Amino acid sequence: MHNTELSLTDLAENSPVCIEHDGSKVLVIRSGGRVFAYEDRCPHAFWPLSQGTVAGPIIECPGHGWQFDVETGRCLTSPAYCLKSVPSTVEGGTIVLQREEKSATDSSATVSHACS
Amino acid sequence: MRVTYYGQACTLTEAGGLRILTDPWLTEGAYQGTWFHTHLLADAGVRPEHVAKGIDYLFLSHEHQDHLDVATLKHFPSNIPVLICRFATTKFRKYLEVLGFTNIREVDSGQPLMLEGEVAVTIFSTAEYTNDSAILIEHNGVRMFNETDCKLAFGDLEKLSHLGIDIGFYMFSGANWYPILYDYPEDVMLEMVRLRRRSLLRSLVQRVKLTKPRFAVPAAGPCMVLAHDLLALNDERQGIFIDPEVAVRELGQSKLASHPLYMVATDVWDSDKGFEPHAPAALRVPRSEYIRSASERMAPQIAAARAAEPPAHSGLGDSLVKYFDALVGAQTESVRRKINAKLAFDVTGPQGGKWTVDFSLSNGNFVREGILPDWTYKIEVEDKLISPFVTGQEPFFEDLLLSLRFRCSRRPDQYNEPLYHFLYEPDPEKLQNWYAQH
Repeated sequence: MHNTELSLTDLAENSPVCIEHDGSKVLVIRSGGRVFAYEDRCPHAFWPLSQGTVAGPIIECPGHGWQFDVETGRCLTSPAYCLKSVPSTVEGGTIVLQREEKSATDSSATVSHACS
Repeated sequence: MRVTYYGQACTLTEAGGLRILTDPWLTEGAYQGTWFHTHLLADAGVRPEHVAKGIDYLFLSHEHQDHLDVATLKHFPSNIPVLICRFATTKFRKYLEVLGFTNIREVDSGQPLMLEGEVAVTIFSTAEYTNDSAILIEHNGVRMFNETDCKLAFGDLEKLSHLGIDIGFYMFSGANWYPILYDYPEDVMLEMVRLRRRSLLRSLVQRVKLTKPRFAVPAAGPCMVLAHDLLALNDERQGIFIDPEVAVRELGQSKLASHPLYMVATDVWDSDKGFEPHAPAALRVPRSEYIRSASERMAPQIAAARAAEPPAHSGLGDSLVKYFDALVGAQTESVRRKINAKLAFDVTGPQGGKWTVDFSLSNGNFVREGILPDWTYKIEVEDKLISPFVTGQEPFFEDLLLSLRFRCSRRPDQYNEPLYHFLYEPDPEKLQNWYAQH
């Protein structure tokens, strides 16, 4: 498996996309000019969040309306949950989704955030 | 295949010589007198003793009173085959056994079960912690899907879409107490209700879009509230119980391939003939007008039912302490930490008092007298309403909350799902397993 790349210009603000990466579906979203990547799966009933609606920094699951903070992955509906972050960087005009074991250490370039 | 609708999630499916009845709630005034059908079944001439005749199989999706009505079930023979989903615990099955049913068939989720007449049923379990399920009935290439109140996993709905559903019955409304019973300021409440209704309708459209039935019927979820002190909950600005006609309109405006169908009690869908309206015209008047009339007509019955409610038993406080001490004490430390709540009860009435269940303690005495200043969830309720639940007379604590006859607050203003799970089914093993996986 390799890193997965997509062009930043293909990702409009607040218009999430789903891409295949490392055998999984990944939600990639640009919010406030920054890029975030998460497993594309709502932890509630496993709907693809990439088909959800986005309002500002919040994405709402199409299935049953669970809401998530795009920047942190934290579930706003049921705070016990959060989205699984996928390590990603922006290099030039390219978004790079990294394999788990090769997550970036360059904090300035890392644009995805795990819940804490 | 012929499907008759009897309100909420109740459908009679006739196919292959079999008559399968789903979730028969055929009386009024569920949940301590609060819940009535969207249209009173009596206005459509529906009587439980008539519907119960000649039924070959019952499917019961879950224990909620608007799906499993003890008064309706008394009209069925005790040996009728009852199909239920095999859940993580046997609580639901045991409840049916206590009601006297002797022929309960638990079916694994997603596994088709072949009945007589080449009729196949498949039961799907919810993705949630609750014990809830949906049913697919197939005969001769025709498929009827009844989602009931069940929130299925995306993968199960996707499978259904590949099979090809002819008619689907879908939950379309809120069926709980959030946010309507919380102590939000009026302007905040109105906005939350608006957003909640928007989200519920969006969810309906998405589930129909995903499963692609030929006909989509908004069916389960809402109730009509007729008690005068709760009438505002029917209001579209103040309540989450959506008018089925609004749901049909929403589906229509979404321009899906599915044909939205507004079915009222006794209406029929036939796979050969299509939709057959049978409900009287009186049921098709505007909802606000219907509710006003129904409330006036039912007022004497509601008043009589409330007057007949037994008082709280003496020693209610001791029962409440014992009830929660035992249930909380049975949980593992990690589950208690996960719940991490201070659940306060402000109980009014002659047997009333104030207590707080503190999940953060570990000394076996979890209930304190009084309301702790750092409570996180507070329930204000009448003594006579909570009394049967803390004595074990009523086995499902959520039924108290679904009565909508209480008020609540939470601090911080966040959903505590582990606390809800505990109140729903405090089975220590189930909770432990759930939180080991989630």
